[in-house]
Amino acid sequence: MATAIESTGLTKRFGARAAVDGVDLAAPRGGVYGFLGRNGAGKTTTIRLILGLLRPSAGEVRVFGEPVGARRLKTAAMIGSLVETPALYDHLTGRENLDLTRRILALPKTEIDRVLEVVDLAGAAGRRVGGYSLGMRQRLGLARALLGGPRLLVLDEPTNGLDPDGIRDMRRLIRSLPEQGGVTVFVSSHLLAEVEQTADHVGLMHEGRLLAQTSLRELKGGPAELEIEVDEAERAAALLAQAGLSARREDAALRVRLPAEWTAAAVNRLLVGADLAVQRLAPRQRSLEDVYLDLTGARAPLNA
Amino acid sequence: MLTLIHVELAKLKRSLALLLCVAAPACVAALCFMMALRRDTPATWELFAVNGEVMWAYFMLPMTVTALTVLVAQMEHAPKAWNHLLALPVLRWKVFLAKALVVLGLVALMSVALYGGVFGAGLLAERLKPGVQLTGPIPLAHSARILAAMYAGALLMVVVQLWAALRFRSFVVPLILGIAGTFAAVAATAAEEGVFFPWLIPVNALAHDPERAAVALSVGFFGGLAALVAMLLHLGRHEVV
Ligand SMILES: Nc1ncnc2c1ncn2[C@@H]1O[C@H](COP(=O)(O)OP(=O)(O)OP(=O)(O)O)[C@@H](O)[C@H]1O
Ligand SMILES: [Mg+2]
Repeated sequence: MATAIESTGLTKRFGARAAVDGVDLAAPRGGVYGFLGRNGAGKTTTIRLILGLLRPSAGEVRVFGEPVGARRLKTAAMIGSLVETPALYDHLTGRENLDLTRRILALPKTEIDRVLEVVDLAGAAGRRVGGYSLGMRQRLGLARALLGGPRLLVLDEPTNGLDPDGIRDMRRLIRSLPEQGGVTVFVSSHLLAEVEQTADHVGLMHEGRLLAQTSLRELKGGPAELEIEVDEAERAAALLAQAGLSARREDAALRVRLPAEWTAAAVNRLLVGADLAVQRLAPRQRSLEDVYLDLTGARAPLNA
Repeated sequence: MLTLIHVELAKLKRSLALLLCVAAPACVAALCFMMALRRDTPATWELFAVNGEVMWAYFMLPMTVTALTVLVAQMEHAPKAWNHLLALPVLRWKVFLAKALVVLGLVALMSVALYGGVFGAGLLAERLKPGVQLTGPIPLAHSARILAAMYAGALLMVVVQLWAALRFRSFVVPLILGIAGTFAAVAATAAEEGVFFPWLIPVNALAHDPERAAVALSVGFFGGLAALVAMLLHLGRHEVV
């Protein structure tokens, strides 16, 4: 597989603590790679390593096959980035901010109008950034990352601080980039739903380690689950546990992972046979959240 | 490199740093002007000019350099602009060199403004208050030489302050360094070792002993060049955390 980003044993220690610990990334070219993890998981640190802002304590990163450590100028030229909060100069206008980067990248002035159009900020470009809302800053930061049409976009939590409309727009934009120009987007997030809706590939970070990395479809495949609404949920869960099925509570319903030898009908029979009233019993696709919870063991099953 | 300098200059637009560069020499000129107005006995132009140069070298120059370098560095630290700037395909040391050159350019401009400001203040005072008479020749050439020497000798101080301001995200470290340095310079003006003390070196441009002046200014200028190279090597490799 040709990768856009590839790392081997990537490690970054701050003092004795490893913020990133033996991470082997493989983000395929084209498409959106969702880099998921809760606060402090090591997402931003990994991104800094990809951008060459930090030097790894061990391991290395390659961008389109080029080592970031030895060829940073080359890799940096292929990347547009937005790290944490957009680093903008408040005393300059939106257009002036973009112009600084445009000069360094030696791009024509028309490029500024193009990216402003993409993020729908042309109207406010003449105003000082100090007066921008958080969402506008985020969009300007994204516009700056788009300057020159980089092959790889590295976005660190780009929906931070956006309202629902803004989040939807950002998602749409992120989705559209690979479709239009074969761009690869590497986007970090702590929101499962967001990654689920935008990414083709997912990497799950947890406490500095990459727990899983695969296509979204595969990741969500896994064993099937049943959602069951039943009165006396506690008794039902105990019964299922006796039968060797682990159930966990989700709102009013129970969630049961079905091993291959079980069917929905068999579960229904078991419950009804014990005089439980089954209101609803539906197969359900696993969400990224289920996967995440499984892998991180963040929440134990109800009857464990 | 020219592009990076251009970028650094563009960042100064509407900035506090630029305001400071106007305000600092203007303050000294205004003070000279008021002192001229208050004098009853006639003074020489030479004394009048030296007065301005002393104010500049002892206090205004080191404090302004401290504030200017802090402002220029905070422009990047405050919004965490390094995240973006240093991820771009440019050699890092060039980014820092561009910053240093722009700061040095601003200090040069301030020196020129001071030069014009002090003589302008004298002429204005003479015109506004008929009693004020500055006697003797106007020491244009001499003053220019002294200010140029101060500027060259200030290189070490500028680089040390800029280095501290760029290295530390907090402005407290460079600020304390600058204030302590300026204070020590005022408190220990006559000290033998003053020729090696960055904040005191520019003052030596006014020293009566030409040998002392030459030693101090060489330390300031060549030491400054060496410090600049060291700063670029260090910051060019420094991680952005
Ligand atoms: N400069 C630093 N010095 C010391 N520790 C650091 C530094 N930067 C990050 N860390 C630590 O490394 C860990 C990972 O941080 P990182 O910022 O990469 O997490 P993250 O996944 O981006 O979190 P968030 O979702 O909150 O942005 C954290 O425990 C953090 O405290
Ligand atoms: Mg982060």
